[in-house]
Amino acid sequence: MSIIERALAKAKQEDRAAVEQAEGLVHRPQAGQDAQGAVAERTGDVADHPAVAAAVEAEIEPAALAPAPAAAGARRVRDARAAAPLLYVEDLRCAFDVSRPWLERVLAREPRRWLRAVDGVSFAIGRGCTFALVGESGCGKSTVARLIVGLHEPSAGRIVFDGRDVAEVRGSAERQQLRSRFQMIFQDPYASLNPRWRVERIIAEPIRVFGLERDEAAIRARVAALLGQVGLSPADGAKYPHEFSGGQRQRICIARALANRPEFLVCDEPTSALDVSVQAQILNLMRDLQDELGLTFLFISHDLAVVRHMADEVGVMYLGRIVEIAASRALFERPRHPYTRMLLAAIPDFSRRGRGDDAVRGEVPNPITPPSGCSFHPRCPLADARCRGEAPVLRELDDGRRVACHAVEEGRDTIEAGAEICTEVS
Amino acid sequence: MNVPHIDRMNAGGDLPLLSVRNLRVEFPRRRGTLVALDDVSFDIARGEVLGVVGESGAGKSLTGAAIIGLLEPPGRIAGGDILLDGEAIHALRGEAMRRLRGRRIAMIFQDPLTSLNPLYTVGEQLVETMLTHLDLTPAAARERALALLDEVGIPAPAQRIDHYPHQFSGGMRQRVVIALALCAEPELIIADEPTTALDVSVQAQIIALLRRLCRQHRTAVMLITHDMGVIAETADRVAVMYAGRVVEIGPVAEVVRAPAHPYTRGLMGAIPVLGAEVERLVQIDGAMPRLDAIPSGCAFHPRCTEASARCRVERPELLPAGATRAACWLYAPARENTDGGPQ
Repeated sequence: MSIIERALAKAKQEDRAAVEQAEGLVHRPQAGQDAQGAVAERTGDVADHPAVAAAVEAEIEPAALAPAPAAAGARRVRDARAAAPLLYVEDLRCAFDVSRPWLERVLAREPRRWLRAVDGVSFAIGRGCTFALVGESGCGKSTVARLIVGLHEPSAGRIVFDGRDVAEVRGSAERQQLRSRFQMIFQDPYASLNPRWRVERIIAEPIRVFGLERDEAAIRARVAALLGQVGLSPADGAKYPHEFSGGQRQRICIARALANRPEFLVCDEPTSALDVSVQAQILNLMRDLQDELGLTFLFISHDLAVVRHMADEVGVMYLGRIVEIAASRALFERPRHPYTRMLLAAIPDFSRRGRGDDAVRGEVPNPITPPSGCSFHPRCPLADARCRGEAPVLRELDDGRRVACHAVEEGRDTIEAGAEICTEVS
Repeated sequence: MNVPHIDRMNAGGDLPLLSVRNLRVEFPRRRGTLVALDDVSFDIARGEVLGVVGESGAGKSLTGAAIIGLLEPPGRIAGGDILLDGEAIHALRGEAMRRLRGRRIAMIFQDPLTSLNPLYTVGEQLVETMLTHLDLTPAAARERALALLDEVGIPAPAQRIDHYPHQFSGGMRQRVVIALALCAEPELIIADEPTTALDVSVQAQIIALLRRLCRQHRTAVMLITHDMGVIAETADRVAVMYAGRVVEIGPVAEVVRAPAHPYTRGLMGAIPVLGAEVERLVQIDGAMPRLDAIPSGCAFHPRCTEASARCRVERPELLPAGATRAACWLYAPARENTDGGPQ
């Protein structure tokens, strides 16, 4: 919570000088020429619309950029807590109506039924850092990704990008300008590329949509540069997606995502559809691009080993809620929430041949009718009456991580798990 | 009911249960023939778990399909032998193959929903399979179905036996599929990506279940998966496939600890591991070749950092390489000597 509070406090400062300083200090050295272009484009856009410009000058723009100065020094430190948040979400909720059709429902005298896919999720992502959400299918991690990029409308909660509440951005020009700073990479590179378009048109689409370049020759040059950046040849632009393998297609998706020079990429299981050797290529590429362009990633995956490799900070989700959120190393070396521990125990690993059968029990319950209290209690070895009746909230522990578990809070987890943790440390 | 089974087990003696020799599978096309499996050889002993690992397109699922006689036309076995307990089964057709399938060799597929019939209760499907293959009365078959459902860890089997597949969760469905595979007491189970469609916590349970049941029933398993972690935890030996060929085969601990073939080494390095933090993963540049463009010599040579002139022209046999066998000229003895037949 402290990160969010700090960010809010900073966001309230209205210091015009700081803004200008931020523009110069933060963006330009970060991404070199790329960011310079983006900044120029943004200021250009704002200037084009006097009404917008006035509104921006009055309040929104200072609020938006005020937290940035802190980021100037902190960016290179890949400690998620030290960096100022580029994006944070607060108490994000999304419920889907899964009721039967009206007539059937009325005849059967059934109430409406809601699937709470995301149920009060809060986290912050530091500039230049990678925040990962992990969990099993149906835990809501992809829904969070879709909420952030605006593919779903949240039922409640706030998404604040660079100090600005995304929901409060009105007007298409301004909205477009904000949206041009995020991009998304999807899981399935076979489904996310239009098979009837040539690769150059696919990659140029964001450039054209956001109007970043008007000149055809400049667009072509930019597409060629992007293809080179992701390890393809500029000549590949004339081909169609079906001429590429899965890994190459994912490279095309990454090139498209980078086309409008975003600062923030949402990657929803970007390597789940790929083979391991290709996955390694894509993960290496993503890390190189992050270092080169200063990108911030929200990384969604079910694969804990991939998450450990990529993330600076990790949130573990279970049935729409974050149960544990911690720096990557701390989480993997010393998981605290029983669900995190169970997930880690479940991963097949080279070193753990022939372990017992009962490390893991039960299955993810139906999210339409989640269990009472802590939704993990039916599978939890530490559950007691309080867990069954009362839902735990995230509480910060000594080492800065946050865990939503009554057992951890009451210290009940140490009896059974103490030995296990000790052996891991020693 | 178990009498013929026990007979076969005793008669088997030291013969491997399954022996695949120089298997070649082709897909004839108008423009040339695609060779999908080329000179694949391996053995599986009774009660042994052989992991078959490889990336998509390596031919691992096709090997399984060829053994159980489920190659999709126009795919056909163009050469080699498949021996089950010394008996050639690759030429069996129609009724003879059908009797073998399910009875002596069972198969578990990736997606439990498509391998169960949605119109029948799980009990009906189990009973039908048992009545087809075993000499049982319907009542006895139902009794056994109940026992099996209990054994694979389905809670309240007496109620669940009359449920339809859609009433089960993914993990429970895969348990039903395992019960179905085990119900005729087969000697070999081919499990093709049995846990790929499942979440990791469920995967761990299914893998543990499969391992326990096969040990109890002394069933041999050919475990096909792309997940090296699953292989490392489950298999006794592992065969690594690349472009329709076995490139390395050996005891799983050795292959994981000290992989011999450059492809296996790359594959192991490419997998992010929980226990270690690495700055960069090992990267095998390029991609698996397409079947119509398999390189000459060793199929891996264009991606191999250690390829030599010989690799480009001459295809290596499986050669002894430490505790494993690898199809790589790095392990060729000084004098050319290819006595290294399949293991």
